Amino acid sequence: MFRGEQAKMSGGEILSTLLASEVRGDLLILFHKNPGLIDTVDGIARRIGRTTITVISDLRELLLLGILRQKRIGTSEVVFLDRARDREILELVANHLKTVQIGGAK
Amino acid sequence: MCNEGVILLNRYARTSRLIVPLENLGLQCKIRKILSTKLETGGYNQFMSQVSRQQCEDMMRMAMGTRESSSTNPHGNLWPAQKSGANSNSAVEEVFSSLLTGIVCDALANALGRYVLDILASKGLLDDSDNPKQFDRGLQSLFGNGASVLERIVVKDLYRKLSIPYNSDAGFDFEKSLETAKEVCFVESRLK
Repeated sequence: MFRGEQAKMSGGEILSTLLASEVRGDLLILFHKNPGLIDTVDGIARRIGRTTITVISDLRELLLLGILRQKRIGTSEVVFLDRARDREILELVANHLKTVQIGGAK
Repeated sequence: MCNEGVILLNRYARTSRLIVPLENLGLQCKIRKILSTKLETGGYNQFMSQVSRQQCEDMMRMAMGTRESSSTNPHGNLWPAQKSGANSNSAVEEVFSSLLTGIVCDALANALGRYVLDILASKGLLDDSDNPKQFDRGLQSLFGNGASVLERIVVKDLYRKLSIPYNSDAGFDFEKSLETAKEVCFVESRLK
């Protein structure tokens, strides 16, 4: 279902993708607070107090961005944080935010 | 154990009710636990000789916080001293403001990382974190549609800390949500 295709995006586009929904925000916080977390989609949904159906599209976006990765352990597909890619992405976001003025355009 | 720590602890640590701002609640519990177990088993002097550097530092922070707030809070509870009218209200507002600022920092750092938080702080975004309109404007200019997601994260965390039920499916108004949280703060302060 998920493929770790890492799209080439600008910092602004990445920021919009990261904060596109409340679920995505919850997922980011979950993985940033627990960077070693490895769990199934069902498990992750439960951890943020939601159902699998409501998190699946947001998880897919984070997998496409490369911030999360997926692998098979036994019979289960599990999702985990790609720390290196996460650092890279947050750095792009930070560099983008550096150029934005509060209350106005770039 | 450093001398300054001993002096400060002599002055404050034996009080039954330490006075701390809301964000130090965890630290307060930790120190109370240390004090109660150590004092029960070996007396104060033995406790002072056994205390670790980390514990010393924790208690120093606690004592300094206590000293700062003790002049305005002789009752020894979590909330600022109950004074009449505007003073009391402004004290509760200060507590609420510092609670909110802490939550905003945590939310931004957890969602986008420390580095992003530092950049936002350097841009002065956090200066307005207790002013919903200004803060909302700042977030909108930086994050666009993502601002409402960050605001929801902040409100969710704030409500959890104040034990207010949060419904993510309901309509969302940042300003109204903060007003509700502030009202709960006022009510709690009066009850205490």
